[in-house]
Amino acid sequence: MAWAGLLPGQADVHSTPDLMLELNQLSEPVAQLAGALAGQQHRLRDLIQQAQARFAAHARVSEDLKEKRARAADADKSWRGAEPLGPRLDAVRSLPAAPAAATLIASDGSQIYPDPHAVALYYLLNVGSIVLRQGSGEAPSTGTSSRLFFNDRDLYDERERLIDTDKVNAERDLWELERLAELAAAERAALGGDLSRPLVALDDGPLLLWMPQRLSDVQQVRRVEQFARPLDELRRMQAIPLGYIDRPRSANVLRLLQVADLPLEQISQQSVRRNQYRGLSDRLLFDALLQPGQRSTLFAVTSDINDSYEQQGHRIAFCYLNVARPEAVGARAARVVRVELPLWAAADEDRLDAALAAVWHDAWLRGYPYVLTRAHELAVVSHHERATLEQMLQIELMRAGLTGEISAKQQNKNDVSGRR
Amino acid sequence: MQASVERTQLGRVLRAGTAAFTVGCRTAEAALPRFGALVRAEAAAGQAVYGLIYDVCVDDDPFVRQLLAAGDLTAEYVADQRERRQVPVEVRVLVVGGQDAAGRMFRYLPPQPPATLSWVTLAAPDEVRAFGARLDFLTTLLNALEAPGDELAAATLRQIAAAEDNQEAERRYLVAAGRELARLLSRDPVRLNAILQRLR
Repeated sequence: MAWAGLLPGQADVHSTPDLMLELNQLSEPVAQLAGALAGQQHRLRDLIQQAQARFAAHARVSEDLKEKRARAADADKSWRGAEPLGPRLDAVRSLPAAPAAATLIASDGSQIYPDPHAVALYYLLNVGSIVLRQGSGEAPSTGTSSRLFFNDRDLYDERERLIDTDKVNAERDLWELERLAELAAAERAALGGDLSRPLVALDDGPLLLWMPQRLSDVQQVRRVEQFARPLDELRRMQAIPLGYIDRPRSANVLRLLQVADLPLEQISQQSVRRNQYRGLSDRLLFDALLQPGQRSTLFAVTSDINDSYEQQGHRIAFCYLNVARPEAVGARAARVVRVELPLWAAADEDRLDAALAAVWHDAWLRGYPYVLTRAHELAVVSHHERATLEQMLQIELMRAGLTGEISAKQQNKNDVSGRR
Repeated sequence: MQASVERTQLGRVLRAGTAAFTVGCRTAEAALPRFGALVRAEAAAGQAVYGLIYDVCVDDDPFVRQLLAAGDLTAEYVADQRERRQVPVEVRVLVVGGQDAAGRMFRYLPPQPPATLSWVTLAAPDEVRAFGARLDFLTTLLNALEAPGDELAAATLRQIAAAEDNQEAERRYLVAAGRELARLLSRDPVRLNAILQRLR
C-alpha cells in the first residue's frame, strides 16, 4: 500500500502512514518554482541576446582584448575568464563527416565513501572501462577494477582526520585517468606501434582538476603532479585525452566578454567579480553558432591550477562542440558540450578534429557518448552489490574474532527503508 | 552422475518452487539455451534437481530500446550489447525429477526446490540418456500447468533420442516413447496425434 498516498484526491496524509514525502504540501512551491523559472527565462532571453551581440562585437581577438584579459587575471586571482588561443572568438571548425576509424577508450569511476556507521571503516573505488575499436565489427573490450582502502594512512589525513569525500573523489578521478593511460599503452602496443589510428581517451568530466580551497599551494601542486603522470603517458602513446562535459555550466567566455566591455583602467578586483551574465553559460552563445559536427576555436582557462598544469607540460584548453545528429539543425536542436584537452593534443588540429569526430559519431546513438555510458554502467556499485560486500566483510571480521556490526542508527535506517 | 561429468554452465537459480524454477544467465554466455533441454540444479549433499527448459526470455532495458530508436547501429555496438552487457536472460525450468544423496536418479517431484543462487548446468549427453531411460517423467509433462507440456514433451523426447549413439537406437527410443504416450493418452487421440506428429 505504499502507493496509496500518491493517489490524487487523498488529502489526509495522516491516514496513509507509508507516505514519507508529503507531496500535497509541495504542490504550491512546485508551481511557484515553475513560475519563477518562466520569469527567469524572459530575463535570460534578453541577456543572451545582449551577450551574443557583445560576442559578435569582440569577435576579433585584438591586442586590447588580450591586455584586458591579462589585467583581469592580475586584478583577481579567482577570475576564470577564457584566454582565446586563436585570432577570432567566433571561429568555427567543421569536423570531418567521415573520419578514419578511431579507437575510443573510456573510463568512469564510482565509490563507496568511508562511513563510520558501516561494519568497518573503509572506502571503495570501482573503475569501469571500455575500448571500442570503430569499424572493427568486434565487441569492445570491457573491464572493471575495484580497490578497497582500509589502512590508516589511506583513511586519515596528515592532521589525523578522517578523509572527506573530496579526497576520495580525487583518488577516483586519478585512477580513471591512470586506467585510460594503461589502456592506451596496451592499444598502441596491440597496433604494433602504428601511429596512424587515432586513440581517443575519453574521461567523464573536466580534465582540469577542481581543488578544494582549503588545500595549501604545495598540496595543490602535488596533486597536479599526480595527474600529470598519466597525461605524460598518454602523450607518449600519442593518444588524445578528452574530458567530456555534458550540459556545461561554465562561463569562461562570458567572463571574458564582460571584461572586454570595461575600459582598461576600470578593471579591478571589484569590477571583474561583478557577474553581469549571472545565470548564463557559454553554451548558450555557441548553441546559435555551431552546426552539428562543428566546434569552436580553442580557449584556455585562466587559473593558478592551469598554471601548475602548464609547468607539468599540460596546459588545459577547451572548446565547445555540437554533438547533435547531422539532421538536427538549428540552435534549439543544438547539443553543445564542452571538451577539455591538454594543449599538446591540439598541436595538429586535423588530428584533434578526427578524434572529436569519432566522439561525435559515438554520441549519435544516444546524444551522449556510448562509451561513457557503458563505462559508467561498468563502474557503478549497486545497493545490492554494496550489501553483499558488507556481508563478506562481516563474515571475515567474525572469522578474525572481531565483531563487525553496523551502527544502531544505520540498522534502524535500513529497517525502515526496507519497506519502501 | 558424478561431479566429474563435464557440463555446460547455464546460470544460477533466481527463484524456485517445487514444480518449477527460474534461472538467471547472461546473454554473454554465447548460444541461448534451447527449449526442451534437460538441466540440473545442484542441491546440498550431492543431491540435485532435474528440469526441462520451457521458456527463454531475453530482457531488455531502456538502454537497448533507445539504441533501437537511434537506427544506425554498427556491428561493434550490437556485439557489445550481445556479448558484453550483463542483460539478464531468464530461463524457466519445469521440474521433472532429481538425484538423491546416494546418487540415484528419480523422475518425480523432489522434496525440496533448489536454493537461490544454486548453479544450474546443461545435462551432459550421458546424463540425458540415463534420465530418459525411464519414461515416468512424461506424466509430469502432460499434467504441467505452468508450461506448454505437449510441445515440451515432444521437444524433450527428440533431444533425448538425439543423445543416443546411433540412428537405430534413436528410432527405437522414439518408438518406445510413442507407445508410452499412446498408453497415457489413450482417451485423447487428438492430443496424442498432435504430439506424435511433433516426434517425427
